[in-house]
Amino acid sequence: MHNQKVFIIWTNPLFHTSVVLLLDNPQIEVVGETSNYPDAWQQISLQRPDTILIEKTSAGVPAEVLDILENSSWKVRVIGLSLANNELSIYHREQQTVGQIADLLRFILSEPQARRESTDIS
Amino acid sequence: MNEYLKVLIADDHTIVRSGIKLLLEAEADIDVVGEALDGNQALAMAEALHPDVVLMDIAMPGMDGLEATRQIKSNWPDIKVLVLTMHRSDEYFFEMLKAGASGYILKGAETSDLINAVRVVGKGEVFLYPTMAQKLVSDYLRHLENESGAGDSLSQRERQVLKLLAEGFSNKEIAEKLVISPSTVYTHYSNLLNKLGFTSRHELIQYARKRGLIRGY
Repeated sequence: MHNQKVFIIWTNPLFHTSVVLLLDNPQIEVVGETSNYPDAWQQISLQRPDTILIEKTSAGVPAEVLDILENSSWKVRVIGLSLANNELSIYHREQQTVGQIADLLRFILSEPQARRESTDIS
Repeated sequence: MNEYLKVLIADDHTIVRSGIKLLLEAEADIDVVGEALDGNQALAMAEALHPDVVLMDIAMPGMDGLEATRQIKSNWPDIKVLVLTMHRSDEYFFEMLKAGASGYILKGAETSDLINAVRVVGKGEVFLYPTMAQKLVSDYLRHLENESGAGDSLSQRERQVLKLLAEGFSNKEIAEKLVISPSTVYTHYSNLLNKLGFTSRHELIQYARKRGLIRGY
């Protein structure tokens, strides 16, 4: 039974094919994919995936990452991968209500547990 | 006769290496016999597994794909190397071909092109990704233009002077050998620079070496 919905945004066909093959897992369902970055959001908002796998190119973090995180009304994380290196980046949104200035200070002084995490997958 | 094409993948990138392995193994005539994370491993596995084709990345930690290709071709000339890389630059392309690679394909290629390239190289033929093949043709035409266009315009005497210059003789020594004055040698030297589009004696010597005017080159 699938319990994780994944959406793939890719640039290079090799990235797309590799990732689809590697995600062949009974617990993962690839709910959509596109190489058209501007149109990605429309499909993503319909499919509401748990994870969005996005191909990072030499231009760095795609601008779409911020758009996705800003506009999604459900809990979603974005994983950035590149064909050029083994770095895997995880982006997610963390939202809190600030009642007093102490809340802001506490948030700033707390461990920065990865608003953006990065790990090596070699 | 070997029914399978034995392929070794040398790439430090985990996703690419694993994905390509699955991709190639889905083909009935291809068998991925090993995966190497760098050039040193590729060399060791080439010796142990003797694949038909090594799918070789260029940028890898430790020994890179260029040096690994040189050593594989030097030790086991029958093993074919197909370069799979992000690099589009002329420098990498020509260096890999000089090192003995039989093919060059970019990671931006269609997966069907990659599979086809493995088969083509495995048969002992050459596969070049279209944009890279264009570089080769352009370079060849430029080479022809330099070699025949400018080279053919040299007089017999200028060729003699060029050869002697390249062999390390001074203007005075060349004058003595050819029984002409040093100023005439200098005139020939100036003409050579003008006709061949060079600005230094060093460039003339390099040119003479490439054209095989000096014994031993």
